[in-house]
Amino acid sequence: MRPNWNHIVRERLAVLRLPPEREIEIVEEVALHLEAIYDEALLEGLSDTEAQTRAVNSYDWRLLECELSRVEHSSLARWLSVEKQRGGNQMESLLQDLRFSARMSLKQPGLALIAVLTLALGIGANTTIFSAIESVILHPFSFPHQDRLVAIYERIHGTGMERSYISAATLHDWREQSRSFEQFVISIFDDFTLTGGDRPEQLSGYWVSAGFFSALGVQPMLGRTFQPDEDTLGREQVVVLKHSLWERLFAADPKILGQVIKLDSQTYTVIGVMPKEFNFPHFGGELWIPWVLLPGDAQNRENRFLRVIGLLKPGVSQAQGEAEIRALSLRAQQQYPATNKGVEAYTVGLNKDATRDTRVYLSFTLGAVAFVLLIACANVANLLLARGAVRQKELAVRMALGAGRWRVMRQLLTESLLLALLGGVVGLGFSVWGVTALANGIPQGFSKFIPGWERLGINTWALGFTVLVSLVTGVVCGLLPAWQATKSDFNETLKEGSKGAASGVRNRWRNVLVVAEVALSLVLLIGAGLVIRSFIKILNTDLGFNPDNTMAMSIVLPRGRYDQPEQRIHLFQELAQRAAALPGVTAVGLTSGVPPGGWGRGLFQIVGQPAPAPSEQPRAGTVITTAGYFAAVGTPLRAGRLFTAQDDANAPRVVLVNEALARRYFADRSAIGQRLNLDDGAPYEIVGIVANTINANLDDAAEPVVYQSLAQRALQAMWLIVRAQPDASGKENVTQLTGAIRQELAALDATLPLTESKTLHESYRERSSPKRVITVLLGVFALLALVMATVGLYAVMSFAVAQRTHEIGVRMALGAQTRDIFSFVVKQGFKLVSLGIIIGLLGAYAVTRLLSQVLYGVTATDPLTYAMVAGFLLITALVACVIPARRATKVDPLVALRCE
Amino acid sequence: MTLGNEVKRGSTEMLILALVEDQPRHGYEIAKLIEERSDGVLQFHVASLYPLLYRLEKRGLIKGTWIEKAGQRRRRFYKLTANGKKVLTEQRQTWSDFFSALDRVAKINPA
Repeated sequence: MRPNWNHIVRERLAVLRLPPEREIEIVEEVALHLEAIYDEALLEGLSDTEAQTRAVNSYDWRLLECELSRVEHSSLARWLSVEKQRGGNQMESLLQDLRFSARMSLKQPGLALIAVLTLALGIGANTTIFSAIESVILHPFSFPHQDRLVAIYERIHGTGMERSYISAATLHDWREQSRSFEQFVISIFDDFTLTGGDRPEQLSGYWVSAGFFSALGVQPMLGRTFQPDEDTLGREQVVVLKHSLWERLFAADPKILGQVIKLDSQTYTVIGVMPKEFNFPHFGGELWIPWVLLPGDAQNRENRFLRVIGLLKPGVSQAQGEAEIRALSLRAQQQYPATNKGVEAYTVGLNKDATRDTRVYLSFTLGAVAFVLLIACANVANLLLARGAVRQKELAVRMALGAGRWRVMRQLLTESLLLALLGGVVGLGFSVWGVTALANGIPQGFSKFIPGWERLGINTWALGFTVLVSLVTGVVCGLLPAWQATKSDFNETLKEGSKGAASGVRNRWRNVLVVAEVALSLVLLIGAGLVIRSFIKILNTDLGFNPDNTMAMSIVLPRGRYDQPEQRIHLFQELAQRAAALPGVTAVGLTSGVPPGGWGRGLFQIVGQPAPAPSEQPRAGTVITTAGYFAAVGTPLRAGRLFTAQDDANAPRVVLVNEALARRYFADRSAIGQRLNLDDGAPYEIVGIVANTINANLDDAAEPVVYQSLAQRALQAMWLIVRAQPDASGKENVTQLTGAIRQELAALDATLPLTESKTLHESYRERSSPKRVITVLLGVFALLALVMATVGLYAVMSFAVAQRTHEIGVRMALGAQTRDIFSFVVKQGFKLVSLGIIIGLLGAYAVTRLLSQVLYGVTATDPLTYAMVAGFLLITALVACVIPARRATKVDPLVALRCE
Repeated sequence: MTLGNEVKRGSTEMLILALVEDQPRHGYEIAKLIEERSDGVLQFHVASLYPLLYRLEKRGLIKGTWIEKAGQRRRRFYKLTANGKKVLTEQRQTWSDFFSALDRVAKINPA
């Protein structure tokens, strides 16, 4: 059979990597030549095999390769080919480095395991916190043109009001006059009573502009949102449901559209259901109804009740929009001095507006985990430095044989990158657990007000962050050891018995890293210590009320009924009396806000005193209560009396104040009998002083508060507070009364819901949960940092002892006692730790000031905390030195002196 | 590089140019003709032939064309270009002057 000469030639010339067309031509020509030689040989009588051999051997293939290479590859082409070859070689060498790194790790599994776990803890902590930051701060919303959406508020100079809502008349002006905004939409949070089902349900929801959803750029999951004219009278009887409400009360019925529901005695047709992740505004509302601007409201400039969001026109920046709004508000100051004096509008980006409460907490938590990762990097760098010392000779031989410095460094960096990437994978696993724990750490009753919290989880952002952090960590950990390992004079290193100058430099770096670890962990420990002390102070603070076995139940009276104050007062007082008569109930009261805090805000004036400057006008929290409230929550009366049955709507107006208000404004006299102006009506006389109670943020137990009587100011919504006797074993059982109280309410009015109820302990836990979570997080991170720093110090001291075995042997031979050796080693450790502590104290002084706004009862530079933490770290660090020190005392001088 | 190699390379180029002067020829034919007409005196590595042909083609001295005849595989035939003719003439003159000089000095009389 005739040979395939094309194939034979192509195989021989493949190494040239010729362009395909050129290869075809050359192969064909040379193949023809070979075929001719082959045919000649056959004609001469040679066998097929002999003819083939003659043909193939007639060519000097290497010469052909060289000559063809010279001809076919011009200088540039030759360079490109070499580079391509080199590129192929580079990929090969990178794979080689990876294989080598894996082998090195398997050869020293202990070191690799410690390094991977250490980095995993640091990276995992960072990924956990980053996930929270990503969903809560960076992307709490996912609106298409979010950068054009701004919240608009007014600050009223001279009153201390920095974040007032907008009046309807002002909104009307902006809609008419603005050129920068495409739309203004509003939302008003409100409560609704859903009736028509088995029992009435109390729901929260929003009145919104018809253009609300289109301004946000969101589409419903089912049905539609509002049409432009549906916020006009007669067309507004439509409602859009939140996904959670649709699931909870309507069993996710796909035929919900078109159904009619009854809210506050009005009927509304369900026209749409929003997607699961849509939760805006983030105040816990579950439905949206078009808001109709009534003629009476349209001219009202004093009633600032609209939360306004502006959609900027494309191409208009927030700064430009704000400048225009500000100019309009300044013009209104001139036009309407009676209502708009000192009123100045401003804008806040939607993200920034929604995250102002969580930003502070998450920001310094991220700082804390960054510290943890830095400490982890220092630890691993130390491990790699130690490994570099052990591999000195190996690296010296490689460099002596011609490996470039960069080549060897690349190998070492590949090793650290591999460890870091493995640490990243394990860390990702840790972070899945961490994120779950974080999500469960905040009760749903609180987290529903945190936008983006429901999205908390490991997503592509978190994955990308993990990869990036792993890569950076690998470089940070490995760069110094790689630099150090390849810096030495390999000639010196290869000499027998040589330690080289490099070992001294390497030890210095290890010491520097340990000092850095100690300093960083001290800063973190002090920060955590301050937050923990603050939280303990909060827990130990006299709340001003007793939450034991006490429950709060919300009652919201529907609009259209109970419009008269007497109707409301009667219903609430009847309910309180019926609840008080139930077995086991020891006290019942009513309040407009559940402690802790729960009060509104208002300005007041003291009758008989000159009117203060507007910026100095007194402010206080305001609460509406009944007399029984104070016994129900356990807030004692300090002076005067409580409300009585005689303090009704026809009697002179009275108030109670707390001790803080009395002390602040009536320091030189008794507050009892003084009078306050709270509104435009008759003044209120102070008839009693009650104890202080802690505020909603749990950071101030001395805010002034004014208590008004329900009988003189009847609201539409109140909380029923019920205190019960614990059972025989002392266990809390107040929640067992919920059913009975619901029946009592139903007996008064079967259409009234009693949906939300919680114990005062639950209320307190909700309020304290953010501080609790941050305290736990910082405590865990600080502990982690302490463990890492201690382990790092132990490793350095152990290594130092091992390296100085000969020196220790000499000392012992010259007469040093065990205790001398022990103290020698411990002193070495003490020097490092002391230096780290001094640097750490300075660092903490600079950094912990950032914590001031979240601390309670403790300053950011609290000397006791600093001293206690520094002392604790010193003791822990010195304990880490004890084991190596003891090992040093066991050195046999004969053995030590024999070995070098 | 020895003088011998330089002479060989230079002469091989001229041989190829001369062989394709009268008619287009393919690579195998050129190799056979050089061996036959020089009675085996002029031998060079066959592996150098095609690279040399490509080099001459890149310099524009010869031009190769694929020609397919009936019943045969296509072959690449090389012919002399105008530039090649000019260079061949120059090289012939150079070699002629060289041998004249050799004859005057060393009494070598080329045939």
